[in-house]
Amino acid sequence: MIKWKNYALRAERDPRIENAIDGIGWYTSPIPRKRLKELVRRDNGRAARHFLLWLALLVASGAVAYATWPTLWAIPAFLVYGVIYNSADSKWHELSHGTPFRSHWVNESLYRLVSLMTFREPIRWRWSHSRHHTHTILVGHDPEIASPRPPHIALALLGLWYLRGALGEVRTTSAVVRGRIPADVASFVPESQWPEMVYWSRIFVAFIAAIVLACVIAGSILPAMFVGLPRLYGSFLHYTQAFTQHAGLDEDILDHRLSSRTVLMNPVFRFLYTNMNYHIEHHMFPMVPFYNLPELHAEIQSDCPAPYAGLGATYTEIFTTLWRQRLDPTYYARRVLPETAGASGDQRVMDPDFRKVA
Amino acid sequence: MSDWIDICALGEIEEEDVHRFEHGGAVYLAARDDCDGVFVVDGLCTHEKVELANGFVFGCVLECPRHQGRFDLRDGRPCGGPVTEGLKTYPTRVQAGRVQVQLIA
Ligand code: FES
Repeated sequence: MIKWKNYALRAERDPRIENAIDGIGWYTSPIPRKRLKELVRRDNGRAARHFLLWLALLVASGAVAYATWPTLWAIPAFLVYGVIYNSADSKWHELSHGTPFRSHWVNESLYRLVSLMTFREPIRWRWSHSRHHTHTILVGHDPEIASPRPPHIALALLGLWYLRGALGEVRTTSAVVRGRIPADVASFVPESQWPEMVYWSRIFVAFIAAIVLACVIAGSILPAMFVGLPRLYGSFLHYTQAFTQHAGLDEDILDHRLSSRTVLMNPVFRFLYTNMNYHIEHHMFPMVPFYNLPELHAEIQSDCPAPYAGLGATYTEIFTTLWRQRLDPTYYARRVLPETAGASGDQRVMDPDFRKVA
Repeated sequence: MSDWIDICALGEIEEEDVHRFEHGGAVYLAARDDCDGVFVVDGLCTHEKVELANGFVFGCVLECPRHQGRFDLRDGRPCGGPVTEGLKTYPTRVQAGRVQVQLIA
């Protein structure tokens, strides 16, 4: 395996990078504040319609799956249920930002619910995701780089069934429940939050134990087919969507237009993915709730690279890029900015230490 | 007791919005909630020292643009992660249509 940069999280934040973020700053497309104020408005009604429809689909598909168990019809029925269940991951993401509902307590209550569904311990993952926004694809600082170079394609494929994520969760949670905070976690969760993180990790372990107990009592795997296992058997669509966010693109650069992707998707996929296909827009203006991202996209489109036409076009690029990166980790898919777009300037964060060949 | 410092006309701050100003080398925000409350708070987020002037107000909550950390404008307390430390607030009044503050050290 070729080694290039060291993607392990650094224990300390690098002052050179912090200075670059504070000084040069992340590029943001020009948008009048008045217009941005309209776009960041939260609307309880729109959010409630989206979440109620999702929960209704979950219950309905779950009922069909239950009715077909244990016939062969249960296979497609549970696949549909699993895909809808895993939409919880993109909803978790929105709720972690606290942006869908104007009523914050609703965001927080649903955040705890979908955290349980997705096995994302709410404290650790909130801090991890905050760091991802501060240091998007900055090597050694972003804890959520899904496709380090050179890529490990077999590992990436395991993500289709959440196996990669699950292994990481088992490793981290088994340490945290014992009060042992792994170094990488300690680098982004402040110490004041550790007791709450340990508390929630223990709730998660109790939750998993309750699922197992339910299976033992029922004498069947059926309870876990509804809660827990869908994370494995139904995650393929969400993973396929989410892997497009940054894979194969530039890194160590303070310009989301060059390190993130916006992919056009059909309305069903956008519903399931909670509009996270507008990923450049989300990173540039994370205060904007998911239902306003299409409008934000229209607003700043002329300042951004052309969006990808769909998952097909996106994966053509990702496959060819990752394949080439196996042998040449310096290679990445270059995004082309429109001629009228704001210049990226000297937004490359160059830490010579990262460039060392290990 | 320190003097009242004149900041701006009340009309210069929209409802549920902020007005950035500097004094003595420090950054502050005058903010208006959705029911005529006016508040002055520190202008940098307690989490990563980001300019809160790029954030927005929802009701009486000021939200940070970087990670959507939330502060209650009335007392500066954090009311939504990932902020853990409150914002400093300052005595504020509206006098003859002008927003004024006491920036007590
Ligand atoms: S910088 Fe303000 S919440 Fe993180």
